[in-house]
Amino acid sequence: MKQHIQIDIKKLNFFYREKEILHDITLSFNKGRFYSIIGPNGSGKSTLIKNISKLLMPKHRSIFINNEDICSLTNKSLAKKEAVIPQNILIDYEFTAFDIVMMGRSPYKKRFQDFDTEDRKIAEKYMELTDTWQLKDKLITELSGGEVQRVIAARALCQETDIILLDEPTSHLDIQYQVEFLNIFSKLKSDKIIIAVLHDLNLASIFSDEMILINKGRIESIGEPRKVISKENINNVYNLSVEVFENPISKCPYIIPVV
Amino acid sequence: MISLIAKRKKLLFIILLIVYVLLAITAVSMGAASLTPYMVLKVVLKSIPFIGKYISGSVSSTHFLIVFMVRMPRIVMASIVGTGLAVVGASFQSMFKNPMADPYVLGISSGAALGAAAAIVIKIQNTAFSLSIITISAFAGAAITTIVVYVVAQDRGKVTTTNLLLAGSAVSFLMSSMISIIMVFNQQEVNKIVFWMMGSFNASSWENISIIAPIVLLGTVVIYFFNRDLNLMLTGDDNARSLGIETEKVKKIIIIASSMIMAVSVAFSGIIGFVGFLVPHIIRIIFGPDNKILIPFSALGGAIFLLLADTAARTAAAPAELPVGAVTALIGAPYFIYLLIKMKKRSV
Repeated sequence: MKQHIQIDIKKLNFFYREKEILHDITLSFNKGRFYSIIGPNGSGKSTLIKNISKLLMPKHRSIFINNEDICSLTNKSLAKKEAVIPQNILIDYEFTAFDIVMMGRSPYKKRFQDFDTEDRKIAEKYMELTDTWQLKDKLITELSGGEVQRVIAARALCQETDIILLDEPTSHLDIQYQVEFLNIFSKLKSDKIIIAVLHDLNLASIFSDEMILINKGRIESIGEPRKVISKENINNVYNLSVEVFENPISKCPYIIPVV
Repeated sequence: MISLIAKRKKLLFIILLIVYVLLAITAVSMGAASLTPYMVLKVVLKSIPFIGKYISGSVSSTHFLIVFMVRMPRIVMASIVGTGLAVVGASFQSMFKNPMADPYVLGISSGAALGAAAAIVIKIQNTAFSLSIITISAFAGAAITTIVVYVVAQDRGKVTTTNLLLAGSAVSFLMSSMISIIMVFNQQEVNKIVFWMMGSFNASSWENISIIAPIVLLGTVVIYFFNRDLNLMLTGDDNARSLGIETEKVKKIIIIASSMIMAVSVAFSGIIGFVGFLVPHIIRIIFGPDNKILIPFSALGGAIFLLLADTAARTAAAPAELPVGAVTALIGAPYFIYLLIKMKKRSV
């Protein structure tokens, strides 16, 4: 159905004022896979995903989508390629959930073009998928954190992009919502690239096809969860001794701290 | 009730427009020489080409003069300024994501006041291009202030709203203290300065209107162009950007359009508070935060509100005139408090 899609990061360095946050990051992302970026606080994992989403301006000629430098794309054309789900979205204004989801269609609209029936259908489809259709007339200010996050997921899906970027989307949700939330994207990954910054290593290990462990702005380890989640890696990066078991259901690595 | 109103927006806009016209005609009829609204309507219709031929009877030239040269300029001026203030208020409240924002947050009022105060104490009675020096000086003060605030707030090509608000209030305090110093050393002019600052429409003329109207109209249209961008920016700048909005560009355009509106409004009418703060608030309570609705309704609501306030200002204690800025707050503040209390009850 959809053609080939690939993100290439080539020697990405990022400085905040004088401080180097990312150092020589080189990696590629491919279609059909769920990637997670993990690492301790201040490791640069959030900075990395914000460079990919261009919320922080990356160096020219360092991030490419299908060989096209993202720096040369307008915000609007980038919004048709990448959808972003931020960490914690706080909307104080009384838009309905439906209004918020419809905003995901705005990259496809000219200045005076109104949303049409097709946009409404797309919004309905993704609100059904994220189990938010019954909330459509509720005000976003009256929803719980988990509900808001699902509405934002529906909005992002409405952008119908090949790439979905999640920046610690579940860190303030209860465990059942975390799993539910990541599941939405895991099911959709076959024709998309999903990149998520995640805090919870065990959750990341369950959902990821590939993990990228960042430490002090450098890639410490990259590969399938079995390779990245090792005693040595976790000990090196988090300075914490752990035991690694095999998760009996998903067969992926599972860690517990040794105290 | 409120949701019913919100569903019939187009109809309601037309009804409000008719209400405005009726109010305007009534307002023209009020004043020292008493006219009936019917007489005003006749004078107006009579002077329209083609239609005028079919209106029977004649109108006296005195009535013609009172309607067109004395009262109407003032009423049109108040309406235009009301529109401008409310539209700028609506766009600032959306752009700053702050319901407390009003059109003066960038310090434009104190800049204009300083310009006006300087012109008043220097006592140049001349006019240039048929404008009083006070007006020109106020405009210059307003324009310079906005530029200074913008430059101060800028950080490597980006302007954060927090920086803008901080720079705005800092510059504002600076200007205000300079005005205080001017007043202390020129005590015989204090009255004049204070009255200028409280706002008035008594010097309105068609010439002034021909300058302010196109600028307010253009600015309003430009701001309305960006209604969807402003909606997205209400959910946060980062969100707006990842949904395709060039937020920095939009901010610049909104600030330029708003400052143009504000500079001419303040220069001609002084500082009239509360309109730009109150009107968008009321509209938002009724219709929700969508700028596509908020901006046109604020434009109309602002015109109606300031028309009413100015009519009250010139008729309530006639022949004395109350400062219109005081009247807007006098009507506006209690109503706003009432709304707040009502909202609290609804949400419990």
